[in-house]
Amino acid sequence: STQSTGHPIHSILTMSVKLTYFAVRGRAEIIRLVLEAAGAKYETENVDFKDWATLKPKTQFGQLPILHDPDFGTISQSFAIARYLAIKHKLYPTNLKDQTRVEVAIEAARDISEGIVKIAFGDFEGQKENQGKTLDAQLHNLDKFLKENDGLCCGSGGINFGDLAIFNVLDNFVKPLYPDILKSHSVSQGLRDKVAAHSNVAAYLKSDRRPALTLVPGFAKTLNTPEQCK
Amino acid sequence: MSFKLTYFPIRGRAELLRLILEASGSNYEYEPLHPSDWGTFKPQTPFGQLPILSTPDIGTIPQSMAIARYLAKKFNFYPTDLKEQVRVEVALEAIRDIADGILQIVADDDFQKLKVSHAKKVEAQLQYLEKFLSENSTASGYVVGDKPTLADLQAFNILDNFVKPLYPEILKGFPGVVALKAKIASIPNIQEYLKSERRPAVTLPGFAKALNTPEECQ
Repeated sequence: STQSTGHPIHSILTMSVKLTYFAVRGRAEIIRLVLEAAGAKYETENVDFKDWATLKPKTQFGQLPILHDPDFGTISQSFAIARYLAIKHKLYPTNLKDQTRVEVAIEAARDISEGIVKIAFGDFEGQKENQGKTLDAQLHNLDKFLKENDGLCCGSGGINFGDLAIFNVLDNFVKPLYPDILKSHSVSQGLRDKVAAHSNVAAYLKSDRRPALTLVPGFAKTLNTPEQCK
Repeated sequence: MSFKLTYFPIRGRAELLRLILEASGSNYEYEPLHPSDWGTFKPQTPFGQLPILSTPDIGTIPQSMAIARYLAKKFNFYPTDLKEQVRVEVALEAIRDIADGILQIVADDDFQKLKVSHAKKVEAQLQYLEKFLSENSTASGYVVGDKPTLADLQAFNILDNFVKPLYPEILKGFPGVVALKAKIASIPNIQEYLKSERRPAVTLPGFAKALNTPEECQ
């Protein structure tokens, strides 16, 4: 590999960030999507679940993912990591209005995924239909929000962190469990398709860098087989 | 035109926003929405949720944490240096975990039992937070740098309104966390707000199993 002159700029150019997580999409997928959309190089360190108990107390919050950036140090918390990388790679807007729309998009996406993850680890079969009704209302509002900006989160310069956060949730949590629901939410479907068609994202989705599973089998009751998570 | 905050007459998800507005000393309107009017008002909101904030420059904003970041940036409670921003965001996530853990059990019929079994988790979370605070190189006692940010206001909010009423003895075991809470409470605008009638008397609505009586939420 390349020599380091010790100059900070050199280290930014020659050393890539390292993402540590389990070998599933889970809470790291938003981070992978930002890195991939940006065309940024990164290393992946997969943690085996059987090794987690030993590693856990050595982490800042007893959680994964964590990111090590040679220019910055170690960062915890998936959305803090993802936002940092988005800013670093110019996928986060610079004006307050668009930044606020990104933050609204992130919260709306989190509301959707948190509702689904809760039942995925709980009474999934019993709650799936009910959650579908909640999801219908959430997607109705998401459509309204995206329509304010011609179908994308904000601005007019292509996809950004907000779009990736929405895509992540639609593609990895909504679509596999509620395959027909986006048919009645065309604006959200449109965003999903636009992000999937972005050349870097499209390449990632076909690659073996994308983990085959969304949630960890043995813990989650769903989103834990390759067929389901295709 | 100034800011108008619309929310139910509880602390809930608007309390952080009230703290930022009060700390800033800026004029704001507060529009309380009574639960009986919610059915009519709900479809008029962007996401069928409250709080919402009407702003003079970017229209109406939904989602409490999106509103919080907007206000924090407007009122200099959000750093401009990227390294400092990351520390604020990491702290916000850690505090969110503490709040979410409590919110998950507080509507449950089994709350009293869950409250006991959840205590260990709260203790672990406060331990991580204590260590994180100690890593601020300025040793100011704040999350980052030497002045309060959005992260400190949210820390105060969750510690004072969720942790202290339910787990007061556990909280006492973390001096850095306790000191931060006291520092924010002693900011003159905040100190005044906490004594005022503008502060709602309860944290959560009537259907919650806790944090919904004035005595508990003092």
